[in-house]
Amino acid sequence: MIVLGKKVIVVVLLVSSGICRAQQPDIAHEETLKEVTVTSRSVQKRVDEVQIGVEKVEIATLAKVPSLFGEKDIIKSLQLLPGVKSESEGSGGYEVRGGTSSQNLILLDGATLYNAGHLLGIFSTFNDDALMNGALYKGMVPAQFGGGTSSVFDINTRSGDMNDYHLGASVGLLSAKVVAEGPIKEGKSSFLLAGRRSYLDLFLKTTDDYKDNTLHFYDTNLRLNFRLSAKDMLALSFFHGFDNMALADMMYMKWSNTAATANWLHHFNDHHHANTKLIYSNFSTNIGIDMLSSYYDSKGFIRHATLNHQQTWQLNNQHRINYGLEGTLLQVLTAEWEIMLLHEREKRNALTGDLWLGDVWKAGKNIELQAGARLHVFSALGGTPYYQLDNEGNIIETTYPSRWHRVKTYVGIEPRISAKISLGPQHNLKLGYSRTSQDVHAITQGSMSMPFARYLMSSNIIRPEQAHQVALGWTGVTDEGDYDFSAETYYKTINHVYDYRDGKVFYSEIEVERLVLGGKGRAYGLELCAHKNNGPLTGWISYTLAWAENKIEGINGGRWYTASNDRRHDLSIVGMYQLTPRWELAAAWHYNSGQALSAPSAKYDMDGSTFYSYSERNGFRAPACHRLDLSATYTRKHNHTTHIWAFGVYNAYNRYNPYIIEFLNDDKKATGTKVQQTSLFGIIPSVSFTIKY
Amino acid sequence: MKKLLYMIIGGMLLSACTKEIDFDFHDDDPVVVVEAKVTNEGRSVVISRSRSVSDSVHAQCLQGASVMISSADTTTVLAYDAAAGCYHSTLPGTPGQTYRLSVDFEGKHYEASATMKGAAPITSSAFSWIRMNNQRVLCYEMWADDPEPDVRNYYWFKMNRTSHHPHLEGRRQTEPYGWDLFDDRGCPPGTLFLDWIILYENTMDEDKEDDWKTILYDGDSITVQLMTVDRQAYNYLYELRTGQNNGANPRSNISGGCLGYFAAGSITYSDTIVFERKNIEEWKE
Repeated sequence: MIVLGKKVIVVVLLVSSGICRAQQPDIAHEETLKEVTVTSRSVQKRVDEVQIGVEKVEIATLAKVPSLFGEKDIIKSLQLLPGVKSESEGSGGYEVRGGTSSQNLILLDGATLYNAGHLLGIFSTFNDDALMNGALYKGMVPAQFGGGTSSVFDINTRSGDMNDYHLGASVGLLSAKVVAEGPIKEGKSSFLLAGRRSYLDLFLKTTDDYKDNTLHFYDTNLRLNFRLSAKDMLALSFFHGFDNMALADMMYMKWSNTAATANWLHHFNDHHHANTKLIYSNFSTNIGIDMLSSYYDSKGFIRHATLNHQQTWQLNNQHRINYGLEGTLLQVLTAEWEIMLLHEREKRNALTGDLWLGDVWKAGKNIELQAGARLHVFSALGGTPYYQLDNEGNIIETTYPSRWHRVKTYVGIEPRISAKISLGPQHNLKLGYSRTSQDVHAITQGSMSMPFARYLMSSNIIRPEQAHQVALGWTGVTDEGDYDFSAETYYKTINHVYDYRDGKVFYSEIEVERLVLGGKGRAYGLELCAHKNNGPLTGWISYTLAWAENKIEGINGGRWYTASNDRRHDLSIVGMYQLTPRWELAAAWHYNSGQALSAPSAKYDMDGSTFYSYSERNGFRAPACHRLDLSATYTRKHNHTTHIWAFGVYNAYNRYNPYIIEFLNDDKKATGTKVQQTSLFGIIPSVSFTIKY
Repeated sequence: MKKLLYMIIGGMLLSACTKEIDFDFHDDDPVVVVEAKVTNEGRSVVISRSRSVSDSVHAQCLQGASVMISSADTTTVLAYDAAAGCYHSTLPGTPGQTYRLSVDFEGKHYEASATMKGAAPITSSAFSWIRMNNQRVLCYEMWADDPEPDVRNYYWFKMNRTSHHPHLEGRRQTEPYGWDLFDDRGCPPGTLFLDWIILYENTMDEDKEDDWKTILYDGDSITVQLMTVDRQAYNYLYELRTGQNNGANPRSNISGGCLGYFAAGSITYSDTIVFERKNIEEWKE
């Protein structure tokens, strides 16, 4: 039998508004988007946006933000925006308005990605060379999106240049990147290919001690664009990201994301176009141990096969409508494992169907509405066993419905509405309501996301997560657009959130429904942001005041308790300064108050050992975190090439922020208890070199 | 795992840091703790109280309780045994029997039931070396006979060591060297086993004070015990173990609002091993 005690852990340790309106981005919009990167026009768009609770992400701007190891990371940059938080220092998981990272829907060209991180989240999956733009909807979501109760991050890859060829390469401390783009047939079609690979493993191979180990990741993006006719465009995009970590042939962890999208755009006329997408995505994981007499191997996947059709129609100056439908075949392998001679597998299938209608309506001189509704249908399908459970999670009945039999169907209508009331040319008041749902649930051990969570779908036992959010906000911009300001407040409730029963871990049972308990959550807060947009110094200051609470029967006596991702204050100051035409400096300072923490309120002796007793879940606070990151970029243009040197310092004043806090029994101390803080990163310098043709 | 990876990377960059910090605890009122067992060796119950987080005085068994353990056949009143430091009876339990615990203490009543499982005789128990990252790593493996091959059973494993090494002289050695819980899923028919990876040999060589509790020294006397437990006791102990790091209390199988557990099971032992590094062999399939 495999026992993974602390000693195994010891061994493992040593191993080793640029976007076009709030409509679904499509090929037609992209050319518009290319024109609006970092100018006052994007400022005006940000202020004029009808949709409340949305952050339009300009990749070019976020890529300038100093980053860990010098690896440009849009997810980490996202964490500096109001209402968005990191799970912990260095983590690629982000949390939006009191939600968890598993409640974020991440779409790459319409395809769903899970755990969009390399090295268990230290770096994001996204290679900025291949990206064009993104929009983060913080729970207030237009009708054409569905599937994430906390947020939707909609990212689009870049099209290759249809007229000229370009090449680029970049070498950093931990990885190297290449990008190539150009016409396939000039003016008619183009390609863009971008790839990145880490070379940590190459360093390992130079050491005697670690040469047999594996530690690498890669990702690749390919996009092909074809102008089929004056009215038709076809875009094919492909993404694959892979991580591989292994301790010789004794332990291994692998996970990957694959996404492929075919997007056909057809213009009926200047005011009316349609997008038809065929989408496939596959997130898969594999973890195992083969040492001594023990053998354990576990696999899992989430697969989506989707057909999406939508049309956007500018009916007149008052109405721009978007309507469509979507169907998805969803497959989730919650786990397939081999434990010595035991082989167990649980896979579930489901069909989802969606219909929506949304309208951006100029209802009056000073009022604009973005309103819509989404009809969502989820059907869990047969072909695998389904269960009835008692209160303790024991199976009391098993049924074996036939393959396409609809075991359980959930139907929901999700209204979405945002209103913008103009208070003058420079000020807007916004308010909105949104209802969202989610069918794929990730059950994680602890508060941080990781690829090896157990995933499960809604079923006869598990209900779809449902979130309701109301928000009220204000945006304002100064005369010349030099500065803009925003303030938003929100209140959100969420039903049917799931967590492990006490004492259960991911491998306790193959039937994942037996491991979880359902409950509800609520979150509320205030977000403030100020941007400086023009001049040599640009940047922003964002502040978030937030609360997040959960209530799950069986935890904390069934009372409301502070969620483990509750953090009261987050403050980010980001500045970018164009020192000379060649030198650009950037700095980011971040402060957050202490993370919620469970600390013991008593201790007791049993069987010769001392144990801790807890009276309240997350009733204490860890110390506050703060950090300053700096970067300097030197860019020199030659005849046909551009050379870029990027220097960075992460955590410039070497602040040791709390990462883990442990309570240890120590008989040598008068109190008998030692509180130990482990910090992850001290000061980390970085350098990278990029060449572009 | 994620934390581990972060620490790997952090370690590689020599920037991770561990330090002791001050912390303001909020203390709870003391709660009764009941630790009760019926085994093939007899019956024992320890009653104590929880204490302040900043109280370093270890608990003693409290006297004055009325303690009974009964089955369909017998009822045993357990008297306080000063020598054993608990309420105790030498009357062994019988596999297959369901036992009821009844404790009255300071006006409160606590009760629980547990079904005793058969013994799993240990057939082998040995340390060995494996190679990992170009270094030797000390491992331990135990094999035992499965008392019910067709049933998923649960086991509580404990390794105790008695050391006379100067580093550990005078230290309280009541705490097991290590303990674990496991079940017999997937094991070859009729058998069960447990693997442990303990530590790198160079940690033993470096002999840092922080590692003294983990390092096995030549001459240490190692005893291993394996107890079959029922699902409820296993759940309690499992929740106890996982909850220590997650701020959760285990759900006791004893009613009445106390901490602790009632377990019924059969205990087996391996032969005592006198630890000698030079005698440990390389791992062989």
